[in-house]
Amino acid sequence: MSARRVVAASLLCLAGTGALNGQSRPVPSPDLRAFDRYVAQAARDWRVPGLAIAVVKDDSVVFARGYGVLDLAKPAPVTEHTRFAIGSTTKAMTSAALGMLVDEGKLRWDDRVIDYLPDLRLYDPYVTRELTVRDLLTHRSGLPGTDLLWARGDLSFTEIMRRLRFVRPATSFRSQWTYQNVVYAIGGALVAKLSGMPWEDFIRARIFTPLGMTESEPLVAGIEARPNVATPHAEVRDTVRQVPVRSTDPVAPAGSVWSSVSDMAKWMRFMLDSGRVGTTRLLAPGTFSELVTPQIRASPGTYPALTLVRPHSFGYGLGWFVQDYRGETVWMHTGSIDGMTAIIGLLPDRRTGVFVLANLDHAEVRHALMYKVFDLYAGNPERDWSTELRALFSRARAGGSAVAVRSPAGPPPSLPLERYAGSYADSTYGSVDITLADGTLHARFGNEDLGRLEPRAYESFAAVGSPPLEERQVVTFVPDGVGQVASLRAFGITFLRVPRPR
Amino acid sequence: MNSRSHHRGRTGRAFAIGTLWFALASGPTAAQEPFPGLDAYVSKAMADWKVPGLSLAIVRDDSVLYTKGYGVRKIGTATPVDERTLFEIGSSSKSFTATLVAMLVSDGKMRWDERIATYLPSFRLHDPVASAELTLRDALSHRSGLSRGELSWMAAGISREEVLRRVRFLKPAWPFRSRWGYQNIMFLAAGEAAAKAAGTRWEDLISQRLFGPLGMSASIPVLRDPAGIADLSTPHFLSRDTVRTKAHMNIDDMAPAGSIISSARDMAQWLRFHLGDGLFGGKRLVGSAPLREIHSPQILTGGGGGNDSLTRFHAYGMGWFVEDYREALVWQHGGNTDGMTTAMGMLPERKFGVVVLSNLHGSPLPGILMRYLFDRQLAAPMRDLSAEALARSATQRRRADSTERAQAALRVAGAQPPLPLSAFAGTYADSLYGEAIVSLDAGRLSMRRGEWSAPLEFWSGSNFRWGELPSAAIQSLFVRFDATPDGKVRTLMFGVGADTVYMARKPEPAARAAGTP
Repeated sequence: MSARRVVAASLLCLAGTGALNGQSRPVPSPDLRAFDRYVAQAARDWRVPGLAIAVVKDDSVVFARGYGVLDLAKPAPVTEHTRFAIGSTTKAMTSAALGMLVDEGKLRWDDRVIDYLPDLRLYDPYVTRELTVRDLLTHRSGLPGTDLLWARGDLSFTEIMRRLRFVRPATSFRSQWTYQNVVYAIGGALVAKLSGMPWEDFIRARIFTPLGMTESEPLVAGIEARPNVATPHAEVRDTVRQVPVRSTDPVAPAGSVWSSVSDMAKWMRFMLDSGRVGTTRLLAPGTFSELVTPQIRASPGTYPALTLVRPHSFGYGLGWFVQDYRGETVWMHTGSIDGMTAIIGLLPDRRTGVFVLANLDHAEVRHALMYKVFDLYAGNPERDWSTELRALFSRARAGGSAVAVRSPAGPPPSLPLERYAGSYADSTYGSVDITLADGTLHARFGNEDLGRLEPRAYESFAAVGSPPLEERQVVTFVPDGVGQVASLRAFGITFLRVPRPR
Repeated sequence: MNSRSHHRGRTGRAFAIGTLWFALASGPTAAQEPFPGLDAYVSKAMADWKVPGLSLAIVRDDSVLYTKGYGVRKIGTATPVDERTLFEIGSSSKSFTATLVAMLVSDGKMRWDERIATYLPSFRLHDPVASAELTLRDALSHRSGLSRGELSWMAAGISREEVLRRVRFLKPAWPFRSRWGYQNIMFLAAGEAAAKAAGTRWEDLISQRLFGPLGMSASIPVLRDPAGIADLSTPHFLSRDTVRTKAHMNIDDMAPAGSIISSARDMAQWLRFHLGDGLFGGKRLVGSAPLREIHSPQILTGGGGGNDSLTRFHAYGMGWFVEDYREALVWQHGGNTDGMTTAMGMLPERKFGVVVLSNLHGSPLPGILMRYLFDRQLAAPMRDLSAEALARSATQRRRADSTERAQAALRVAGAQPPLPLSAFAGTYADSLYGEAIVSLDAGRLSMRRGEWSAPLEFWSGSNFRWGELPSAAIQSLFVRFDATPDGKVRTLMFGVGADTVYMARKPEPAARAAGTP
């Protein structure tokens, strides 16, 4: 890309934001042309079909552009207005929304959730009674991850929430941070209850509209009608392919927003201005600082990149990771929905922020670009984050294992195939349906077609998903010893055979 | 009070010989100050903060860079403080207890996430979940959910066993594991669990596994006979701006949480050991992984905020605070006994460590000097931390003075207690806090509780002032008595920090009641 084009793109962005008011603080001038080349190279090295990035500094958008294409099959270029799934960076919007309700006196962070949602029932009666709004937003309920509940695609949030009563806690209440999307989404239910409008309407009215974020959609369902939308992709056996859009709408408040880096630059300026848009304050200072104050230690293992960064501290506030980087305070979060990747990184003491969106599943180039921007604006020596992280992740991939390798089939199943067909259920996660067609078993989990079952050995099968992902999931059946099948095991869960009606 | 270096201007042959011996014995560690101006800064600060005696040790790159004593062991006397002078290090002892557990974990005799109840079968807490689930890790990282409840053991005159028996009556302040809450009794439980697992007393473990191998030959795990120990400095406290001496407080019942006595010279070895990742003199004394565990943040302490942005995160490991200071990692743990103050901290990434021991109760100076030395080591822009803290303390003192004046103002001249003094006499008891005996003698009330005995002076309403108590931390307390309408005193209460103590009057034996006027 020519230098003129980069500058032009930046100028357009500056004109668009229009709120500069003559900031007089001197801005260190990193070499943005070199940075532009760095990003372009990184996008190529990481095989990302399309990527967009915005950098804000001292309330100006100093860099905003796109690279690559919306879809490998189409030549339309990615721009700073291209919409991607921002994934879990949505969480900060939900917590900000609750902060607005706190400011209105409608709730307090340490209020009990059950006082507002009396139907809430969790496995442990003590936790049911004591769970607070703060607990929802800091991932410390003690519940393990339950993403299968919404990944099956056919349950409403009300039903998903009802099923939490069957989920055994993994750790004792408030003692440990365990990332939990469903529990976080209860925060969105609180927004709806206390504001009298659906979460998505609140977000639109109280965040998108005041900030002028016209390219943002709160629900996945709304994105299909929009222009300039990137297609999700994933690397499947060394080939980058388009993958279907995953709807996260059942847990929308935990990760459903789709947006552009242009809009997210406005969100970053809002956060870097402690909750203000221009001169209007949308969050009281005390409420704002609650969002970004670490409340619990988070697990550094969440991000392999941290093994290179080695922060002294890695904590979680309300929808924000808070860590240190070379003496600077960092507020950050990632977003990872199937086929899409996002990251937001803010250096509040330097009024610097970066947002990266890309249409390749779990493309960790996002961390590389975030730390690159941090180095540029903190005056740190040059570090080739992209190369270092690529080496780190390729080592990790080589060491890892998946059910990807086809091994030669072992002894055949002990029962005739029709005995395995049927419905198998678990109170929490619902049913897995096994059908027999043309001599082959098929598995289905809610709206998810797990694919055909290929025999591996004895009662163990590999469910081979359909293209493009062709994911392989191990499904193991347990015979009852008298000629029938009692249960099956998949996703680490045991599903019991539902008796056939006579 | 002479706070300048004691070497100069002294005559007397015996002392001269002593000085010579001291200079020979200390060797290169008594050399010139590692940071120019250090001695002068310390001496001036001691005068400003009225600290009678202080010693410090600085360790860098596995060698003892500097050890030095300043001032005197006891105000009004001449015996100087040096690197061998012994001080109560208070809660800095917690780092020893935690390291001891790390050694037992390393030996395979304990596990961090094993329940305390496994080692101490009669261990019981108020909350049944916490009671069953409290682990070594919980106890050593202060996340039991209990508030301090210090009066249950402080000056109570009871055994460690009895302290642990009584803690089941301490109601939790917060849900289990939800929040960091400094708790001495849980550290006692961890120390006793370690003793049980090793089959020997805590104090013997400390001597055998730590003091011995580290050459901390002067250090004592728990003080039993102060008079019999040479080199021991005297506790002091400020009473209305005057420095007074006091007796050592007996904390045998809380030993694993804070009873160690040590010197600058000995504590330098402790710093070297931790900076050396468990290696000492080429020998590995504890597994690297268990030692790392006590240095790793287990929980955020929720401290901080305010103008000091030099520390961005506040966490606690096990027996160690884990923080940052000017971007550098810090492991530290201070100590406060009834009459002495300690600061101990390391910059592990810089292989730099500092310990400052002093014989004045509640003195900010050791902490100030620790940060001062960190600043010098980090080549940070120099601030006069002592002067800044002095300015802040003036405000605090004005506030404390006004509180005292407010209390005095409550006293109504000529007011009489609502009941005859004899009505208050009796024995009052509580499961957690033990017994208090109020007696009337020659027309004056006094109250004795554990090791504290002092007059009860009528103040106003049904409040009495109990003082002076033989404690630096708590010099007096206001005790309120509550009676039924028919004039029978039923309870007394007083507040200590965040804890309120209630005691119910024990019924009189029938014969005595008949004789009461």
